[in-house]
Amino acid sequence: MTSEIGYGGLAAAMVLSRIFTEATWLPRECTEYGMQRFTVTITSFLLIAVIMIPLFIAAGKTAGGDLISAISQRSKALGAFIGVILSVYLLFAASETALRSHYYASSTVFDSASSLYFYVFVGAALLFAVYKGLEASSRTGVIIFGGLIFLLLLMTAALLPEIKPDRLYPALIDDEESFFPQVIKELSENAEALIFIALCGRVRGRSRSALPVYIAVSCALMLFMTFLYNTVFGRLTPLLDFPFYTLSSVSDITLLHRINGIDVMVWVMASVIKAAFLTFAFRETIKGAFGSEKAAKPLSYAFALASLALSGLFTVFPGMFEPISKLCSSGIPLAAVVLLVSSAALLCMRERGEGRKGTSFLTKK
Amino acid sequence: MLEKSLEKNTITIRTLMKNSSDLILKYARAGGIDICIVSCDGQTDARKLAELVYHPLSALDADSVTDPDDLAAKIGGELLIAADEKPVYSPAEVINAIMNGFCVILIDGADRGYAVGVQGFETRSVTQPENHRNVRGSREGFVEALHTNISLVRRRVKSTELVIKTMSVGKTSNTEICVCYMPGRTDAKLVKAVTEKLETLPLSLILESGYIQPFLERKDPLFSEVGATERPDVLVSKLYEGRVGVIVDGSPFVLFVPKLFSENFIMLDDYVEKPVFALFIRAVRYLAFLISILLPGFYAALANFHPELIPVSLLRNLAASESLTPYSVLTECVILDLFYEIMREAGLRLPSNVGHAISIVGGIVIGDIVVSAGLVGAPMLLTVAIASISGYIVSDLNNQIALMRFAVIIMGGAFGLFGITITLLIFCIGVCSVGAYGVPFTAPLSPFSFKGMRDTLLRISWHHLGRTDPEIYEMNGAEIKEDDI
Repeated sequence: MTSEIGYGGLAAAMVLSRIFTEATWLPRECTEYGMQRFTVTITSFLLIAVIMIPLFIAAGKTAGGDLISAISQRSKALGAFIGVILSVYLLFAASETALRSHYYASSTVFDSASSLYFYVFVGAALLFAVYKGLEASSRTGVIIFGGLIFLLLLMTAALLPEIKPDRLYPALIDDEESFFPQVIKELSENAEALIFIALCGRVRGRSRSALPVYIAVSCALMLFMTFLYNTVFGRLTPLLDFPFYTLSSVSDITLLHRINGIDVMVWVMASVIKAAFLTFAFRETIKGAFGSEKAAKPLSYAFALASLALSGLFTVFPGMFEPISKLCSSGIPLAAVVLLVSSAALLCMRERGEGRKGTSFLTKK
Repeated sequence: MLEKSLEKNTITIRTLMKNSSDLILKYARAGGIDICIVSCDGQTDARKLAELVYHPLSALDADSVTDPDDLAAKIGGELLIAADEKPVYSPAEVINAIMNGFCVILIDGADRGYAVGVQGFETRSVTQPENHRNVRGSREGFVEALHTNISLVRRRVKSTELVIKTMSVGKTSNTEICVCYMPGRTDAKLVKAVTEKLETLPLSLILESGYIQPFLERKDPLFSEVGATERPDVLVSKLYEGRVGVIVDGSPFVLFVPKLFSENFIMLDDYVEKPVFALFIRAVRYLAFLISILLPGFYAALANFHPELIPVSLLRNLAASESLTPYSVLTECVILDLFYEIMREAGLRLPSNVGHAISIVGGIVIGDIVVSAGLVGAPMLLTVAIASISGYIVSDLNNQIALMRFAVIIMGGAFGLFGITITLLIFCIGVCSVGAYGVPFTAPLSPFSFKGMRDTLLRISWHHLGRTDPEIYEMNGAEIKEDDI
């Protein structure tokens, strides 16, 4: 059975995943939440939009088929090469997601949950999501995204007396030296592009519409969050490790003294959905690059477990994580993968002389 | 096949019926030919039998008809004036007919008989539904008799748009069921899928519509894509939206497919009230659903693991109350919830007058004593009581709520908000994976559809709602594919 999701479902999951990354920054990641963050966010999203233009075009020309299969059909070697690169990147992204989630949850309100319980329960939820399939995870992602919007509205309402717009000051760039590193760091956090590359073939109708929706909504939400940080915390903002969590900790909604517990609930759920989507992306990559339909399903369970195991390993040996993280933070791997896949797909289409808008060159023999 | 010899035919029928006591064979002569009127005791109306069968047959002059085929033609022609009349050609058809309240006239020398509809078994009269009550609107509910139920539906749609197809299922019970739909609104693939599933039912005994429900849905341990209603007006509204209804003889619960999760929160009264009130009351229902699942588990989690989330003044009261009880918060919560479930089950099965006594003993006497004896804290009792009452607001999900609440209590009490998070996530993924016949169970909330939302949490006014046809597939942007069936 080939289940399909709408582009809205994919976009919601991608936005949720991006905002999860934003809310769970690992400490000491050279992130500054001052006024400069507005400019950093806008610049990084403009850059990612530029990088994604070839992807947008390629996805539009492969309506009904996915990019990896398209490349693989033209050149098996190139398809396999891209498949391996993507799989490795996806594995790292999934393990980083579990790592972030564990670190964030155990550093905040879920200190009660031991590492063992955390990995057992999150692992169970992840395997259940993978077992239930892409459609179920996509629909769950939409509901959790709704929960996130509700949480944001609730926090904004609770923080209204604390919001002081006069704490905003006119500064596009506070520190020129840290500006570009931060933009690049932000750019590298868009691993959702990999999800799109692998899953666009499973989207009903206009799959590429997910990209502009993802960029616009993620950017808007991140700007809104930055607005909240700066107007509530003022000049203290750059000192905060988990500013969103801190915001929720000072949100008093009368019934509850603070809503940081609900905040962490949303992010733990979001992390499972993100990991599930990365697992589905891996499954589709295996299918597309190696054409192994049967092996893809058991391999995806193995992928989910491996990502959790790797995350556990990174927790015990942080030295292993840091160099890989540093490499990924440079933004080069992400930009390289996105550009490689989209240009390879476009090249394959040009060589075949097919792929007009709205037609599937995959189905033509 | 029936033979020309009346004696042989009656012997065959007796043999097939294994000399059952309720088989009635009445021998007579009509127009000079021997006949036998076969019927089943208790299935026919004696007055109808006399008026429609005995009287016209006895009015035939002796020796006026000598050829059995002429008599058969006469009976099948102008002699009898029953509304439901059909020829039968085999003993099996004779037996099937008499089981359904027909009498069958067998003629000596003719190899066919005539079945005449003289049904007259006792049925419950049309009353207000027990489970789906409303404040304003019809008080009629479905009953056990299939034909009464069909008439209740037909009275509400007096047009050719409604099609009703009857079939017989169950090898032993031969239960009559009826598939109803509106061809202009219902996807033909949906009708075909439902009909095929009903035709291939592996059951031999069907006593209730719940027996066939699992064969119309996908395997999900908690939720079902098949709805059941006791109200003809609700069924008609579902048919109007493009669903297929299945009425089962002997059951006052009529099935319809597909069903959406959000329909558990929609009541008929919402459509006769002002839209703003409908919006308010639907929001209350969603809130009640969440409270009934989450409140006790959330309380246990906060009390055990996250007291910092509770406002200080409330925390002091809770701590004072809990410090007087011997058990942990989780144990208290589990005991109270189990106790409530026991009371609920006892109240359901007992006669209503005894059920009230159980409520009083359980709710007031025991509830008061466990708190005053210091076994359970008053806040915990209040929490479980509020959750229980909230659960009744969404009556169709009562069983699911009970299970989910219990799971949340255990996980919340044992692992705090983290446990609740994982439990909720698993439930959420489970609910989102449900969906058959091309419509996701969680539509139009997820996948989100603006068009579908006009009658989900919101209920827009009739001026706008009445302008377009509310077809379920169109509203949710869904379509049936082969995989969905």
